[in-house]
Parts: sequence; structure tokens; C-alpha cells
Amino acid sequence: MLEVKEIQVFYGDLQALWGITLEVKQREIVSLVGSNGSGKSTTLRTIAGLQKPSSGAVQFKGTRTEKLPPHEIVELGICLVPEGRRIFPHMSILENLDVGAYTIKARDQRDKTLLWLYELFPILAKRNRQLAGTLSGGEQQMLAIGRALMSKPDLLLIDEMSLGLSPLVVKELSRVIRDLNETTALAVLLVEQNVRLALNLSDRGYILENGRVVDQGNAKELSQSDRIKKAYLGAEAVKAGS
Amino acid sequence: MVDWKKWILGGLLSIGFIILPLVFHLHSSIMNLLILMFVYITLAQSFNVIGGMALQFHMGIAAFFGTSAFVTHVLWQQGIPIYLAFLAGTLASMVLSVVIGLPTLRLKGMFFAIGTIALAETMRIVVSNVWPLTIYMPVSVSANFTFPPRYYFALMIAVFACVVIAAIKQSKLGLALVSLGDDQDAAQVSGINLFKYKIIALVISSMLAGLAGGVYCYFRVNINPGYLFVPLWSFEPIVATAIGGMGTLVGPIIGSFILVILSDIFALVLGEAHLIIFGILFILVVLYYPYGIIGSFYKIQILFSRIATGRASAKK
Amino acid sequence: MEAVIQILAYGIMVGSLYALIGMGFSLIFSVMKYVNIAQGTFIMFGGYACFFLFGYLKIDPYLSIPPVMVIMFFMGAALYKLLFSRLSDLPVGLRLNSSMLITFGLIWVLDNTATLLWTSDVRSVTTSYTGKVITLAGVRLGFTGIAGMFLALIFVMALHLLLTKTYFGKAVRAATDDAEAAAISGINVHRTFLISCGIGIALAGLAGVVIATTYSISPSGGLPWLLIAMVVVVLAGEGNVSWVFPAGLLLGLIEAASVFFVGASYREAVSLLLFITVLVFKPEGLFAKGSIVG
Repeated sequence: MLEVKEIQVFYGDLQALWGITLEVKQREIVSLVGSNGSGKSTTLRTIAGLQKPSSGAVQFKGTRTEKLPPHEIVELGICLVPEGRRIFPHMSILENLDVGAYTIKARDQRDKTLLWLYELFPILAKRNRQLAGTLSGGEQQMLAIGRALMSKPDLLLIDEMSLGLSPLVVKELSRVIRDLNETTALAVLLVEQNVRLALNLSDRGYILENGRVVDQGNAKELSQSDRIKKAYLGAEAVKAGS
Repeated sequence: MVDWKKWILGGLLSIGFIILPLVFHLHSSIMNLLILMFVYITLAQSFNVIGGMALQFHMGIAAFFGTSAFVTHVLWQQGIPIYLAFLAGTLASMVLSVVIGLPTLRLKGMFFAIGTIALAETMRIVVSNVWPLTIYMPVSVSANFTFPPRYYFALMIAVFACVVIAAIKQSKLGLALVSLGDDQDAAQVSGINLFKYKIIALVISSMLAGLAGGVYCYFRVNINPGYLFVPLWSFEPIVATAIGGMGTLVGPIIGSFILVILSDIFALVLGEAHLIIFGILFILVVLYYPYGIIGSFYKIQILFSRIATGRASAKK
Repeated sequence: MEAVIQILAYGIMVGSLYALIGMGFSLIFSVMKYVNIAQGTFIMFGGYACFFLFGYLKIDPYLSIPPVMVIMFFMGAALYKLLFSRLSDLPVGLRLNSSMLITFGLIWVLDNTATLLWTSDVRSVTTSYTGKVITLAGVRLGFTGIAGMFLALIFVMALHLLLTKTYFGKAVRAATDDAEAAAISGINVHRTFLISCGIGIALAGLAGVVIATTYSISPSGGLPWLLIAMVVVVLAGEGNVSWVFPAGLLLGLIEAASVFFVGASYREAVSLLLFITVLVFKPEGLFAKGSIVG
């Protein structure tokens, strides 16, 4: 469904991505893991249209998207839940969700989608007139995901969902995402610092280092790989053969 | 690091201007233009310190210029010799800068800019209401009006202003100001006392503007107090510096030349429309050459040196 | 007592015009983070449009409002398309600085074009009802002033409704909060800004019509109105387009009171001093509710 081919991205004179290639197939949950600065967020932002690659291609459902503006990419069915939530603090929960349904195709189904979303995240229903800026971190994350879901995406991009959230909240959000994937065929590409969380949740994964893909594969296999163990679980874990 | 090339060039240029009226007999209209250009250079360098280097857009330099010119004139009229009067005038504007600088320098970006415009405008309104009439010097002074002393005084001050800028650029102060302009938060985090440097920059700026005011007073002899504070004196230096190159030594000089001399020539050729052309030119420069003429020159230099050493940017 | 009513009436009358001017400026500044120093010049242009429509086509100034606003809307769109949009890639700090410089250059271009085309003479629109005075509760008010007040109130309310009740309004408010997040929610941010800029300049045009009928216009007469716009926006607090309205009224009332006590020639100085005081002591604005975490 999504194919990213050899994209190179620069921030000014600084090269961030050196030819990233990856794909997300229908109904898959795929994760991008890697240390800080490895280019995970940049990859997501590029797919979402916020960055333009200097070379390479992004193809979604047969359409080339790398030169499209972000709002057209949303129309095609990709929606990004950005790092740091980025909800609209001076607007209410309901208004935030409304904005999520801005695209034409989503607007028609707005009421239906809203009801469905309220069932998914009851707390959003309860507080729907509250200003988004006054919500807690976990609630804001729910709102951010909810806003993205309002656009009825086929592919959801999630950037660093777990940052700053308690394990309980993260667990709950993961459960919601897995359910969505199983019941609605929503594909997910997620970027996560919490490798264990990411690989537990996903079907497949890519490991990024310094703007390049250095390993990929089935999520379970990846979590056993030496590279992951050494980088994230410590060299001792490798030695101990965990 | 002392840049000998610049000092030599500057010296030659100054000598050139010194000799100019001695060699050629210059018509009074040309003298007027040249003196005005020197005033503009001084004012442009004044803005350059606070706006060009530290990127604090002070859009009310007219307040300093006007205060100094006004005080100078009042004292001169009372019989105090001009060279003492203008020192007092400059001092007055420096004091003013501290008085208004303390509260306003805490403001960021646009609010600082608007605040300074507002202050200058307030002064203009008050001054023009309290002293609406042109103040004349005694006839003896007007009768003895000659250009040379004015010319050399203006030239001396303009050269002084450029020397000040050159000295700042090569000093720790200059480094602090540029880093302040580059990224205010980063500068603060690296331990630079932002406020102290902003005040210093403002005081130097007001000193230069004050000197320009003194020169102008001596130059024009009879002045209308309100006119000393019109936005023109705040805005033209900004245009000159932006066109020439903000934060550079030579930029304000080139910008002032363009604004005074070139615009006069343009005016002869294009008539009324020349200001419009200038405005368009200015907009284009800001859009496409945000570093001004000189700044772009430097950027091209850097680009060439990169290519020469094979380290051209990887970006196409 | 009569003095109080006089001050109130005059203050609200003038204040609603100030609110109108502030809203136009705020639509560009708060929403897109561009400083349009040429806002005053656009106000003058609106006044000129009204003046010439009246002079050549005998169109009543109040009837000329629709065409003037349409013309100004397109001017605003052009302003965005040609100038502002080229700054969209810059970080916020540079955006503010660059937009200030560019619109400052624009003043040169536009003011001098106006002087070239229409001379620097001061104009105003004089109709059959220009001098008419209405007496309410013992207070004498100019007819054109009252009409200007109603116009300002109507359009301020209309703008408020647009911002809160329509999808476009939500897009504007979202883009004001976080332009990137708005883009990835499916909003065409460029088009939203384009239209907002158009509306902002259209409102300037409307203000120009009111000013041409109640005061006067001239090519360089825009600066005082620009300063008022900035004062009002600062009073309201950055990012608060809707709060510009009470801020404008407040400014009007304070000015009315000062005219009563200190006289009219220092009118501008008073507003500027108020402005500086607010900037120094409460730079986030009188009505800002403090920063909201998000």
C-alpha cells in the first residue's frame, strides 16, 4: 500500500535521510525504531508531506505523493499523529476533532465517525467542550489520535506515542491501536523509542541508524536480533543470551 | 583579528573625501548631498549596531536623532559654541536611550519594533505641539554660513561612526551582539547577559544617532523641532542598512550612497516615480537578497571558496 | 453626568472603528505571524476607492462598501500570493522581521504611487448627510460617526461568527494555533492564509470608507491608523482575534476620556503612551489568559 523508495532528505545543507526504502502492506502494523537522530521522525514527516525529499519516491495506493502538499496526502488516506501531540490548545476537544474531519470525504461522515470515536475514547466525549490545552498528556495523545482518525485514514502514521506518558496509558493506547488494526483494517506505521513496545505491537519492523535502514524483518525476529539487544537492552543482555 | 585591507581601504576613501572639495570646486547642491550622505551613513551605522548586528529592530532612532539635534540647537542658540553644544546633545540622547531602553529592551521582536516606533512618534507629537514653529539662529550665524566646516565635521563624524563599527566587529562585544541576533535563546543559554549587551548596543546606537543629530543641526542652522522627529530619520537608515547589508561595515555606507546620491540621480531621470522604484528595489532585496548587497557578496565569496577547496555542499 | 455620557458615546463610536482596524491587522498578524506595516496604507486605499467611486460614479459611500471590499480582498490576496507566501518557509522570528521590512518597503511603493496618481492633497467624502448631527440623550453625535460605528459592529460580529461557527473559521483558528498540525489535518493552509489575508485587507478597505466619510484621507495618512491597529492588537494579546473588539472599545474610551481632560492635540500621544505602558507591564496583553500548555 505504501512504498517508500530511496528517499533522501536534507535540512538545509544537512542530510538527514540517505536513501530510505520501506513499505507498509495492507492491514500491517510496521514500526521504525532507532536511536535519537536516526531519522525516524523525518521519515514520517516526509511521508506526510511536511518535508520534501530531494530525490526518491513515495507511493501510496499507486499514487506518487512525495511532491504533494500535506493536505492532499490526507485526502488520499494517510494521516500523521505528530510527535508532541500538536493538538490545537485554544480550541475545544470537539473543535479539534472537527478539524480532523476537514477533508471532503471525512466531513460527510463526520457525525458517524464522531460517535464511533467517542466509544473508543469515552473521556473525549465527557470533556468534549473543554479546551484542549488544559488536558493531560495522555488525554492529549488520545485527542491527537482521535483527530487523525476523524479523517478516515487507510494508513495511520504515529510519531513517538509513548513519550511522556505513563505505562498504563501507553498500554491502553496500544490496545486501542491493535484493536483498530484488527477490526477496521487500518494500517499503521509507527515510530517509537520504546523498542519493546514497538516490536510487541507490530508485525514488521525497520531499524534506522544515521538516516539509513540497517535492518528489517519480522518483528519477533528483530526483537531477538543482536543489534537490537546490544543497542537497547545493553551489551550484558546479549552476553546473557536473553 | 585585524583586517588590514579594510582599514587601508577605509583610510583611502576618507582621504579621497577630504581632498575632494579642495581639488574640485563643488556646487552647493553637491555639498548638500554629500553632507546629507554623511549624516545618513552615521545614522545607518547607528541602526546597524542594534538592528543590523543584534537584530533588535529599533524603528525609532528618530527619537535619539531629534533629541540631540534639538538640545544642540537650543544650547547653540544660547551662545554655547557648537562643538560643546553637540556633545551635550549627544549626551542627552544617550541618557534618553538608557531611560527608554531599560523598560523596552525586555520586549521581543515585533513588540520592540512597534514600541520604538510608538515612542518616537509620541516624542514627535509632543514636541511639535509644544514647539510648533521653526527656531531660527541669529542672522549673524546664517550670514556666515559656509560649507567646508560643515562638510568636514560631517565627514569626521561619519568616519568615526565607521571606525566604531569596525572596532565593535572585531571585539568581544561584536561577537556577543551577533550571537544575540542569530539566536537569542541560544545566546542566553551560553551565558551571555542578554540585557547588558542590548543596553550597550542601544547606548552606542544612540551615541551615533546623537552625533548625527548634532551634525544635522550645524548643517541646517534653522530647524523645525517637530521635523527632527519624523519617521524618515528612523526609516531611511533601516532601508540603507538593509539594502547594503545588515551587520556589515560597508553595507550602511553603500546603502546610504544609494539612498542619497543614487536616488537624487534617479529623481532627475525618473521624476516622481523614483521613490516607487526604490521601494520595489528594497522589497526585492529583502526577498531575494536578505543579506543585502554586501552580504550577498560575502556569501558568494564563501561559496566560491567552498567550491575551490572541493567542499561544495552536497545539496544540488 | 453629561460629560460621562459624552465620553461613553464618543468612546464607543471611535472604539468600534479602532476594533475594526485592529481586526484587519490581527487577521494577518495573529493568524499568519506576518506584520503588515502597510495596513494603514491599505486603509487609505480603501478610502480612495470610496472617494473616486463617489466622485466619478456618484455612488453613495455606504453603497460603495461592497465593491470596495471586493477590490481590497483581491489586493489582500495579491499581497499574500506575491509577498507573504514567499516567507512561509522561514522560522517565526525571521518571518516577523522580514515581513516588517517588506511591508515597510511596500509603504514606500504604495504611498508614493498614491501621491503620484492622486497628489498629496487631503481628501474626504462629503455627502448630503456629512454634517448631520444626531442628538441622543443630550449628546450630539455625528451621523457619519454613528453609521461607521454600526458598520464596524456588524462586520466585527460577522467575523466572529465566521471564525467560530464555520468550517473555514475553524481552519483559520487551527492554523493560528499550529500551522503544521493544521496541514496534516487536511487543511490547505496556504489557501486559508490567502483568504484570511484577503479578508484582513478587505476590512482595512471598509475602515477606509468609514475614515473617508468621518475624517479624511491622504497618501501618507496611514501611519497613525497603523499605530492604532498595533496598539489594539497588543492590548488584546497576541493570538486573540476575537478579543480585539473589547480592546478597541477600551482604547476608544480611554482616548475619549483623555480628549476631555487633556485636549485633542495629544490624543495620539495618549494612546501611544497607553500602548507603551501595556507593553512594558503586561506584554502578553490585557486580555490574554496566560499561556496554555499544549
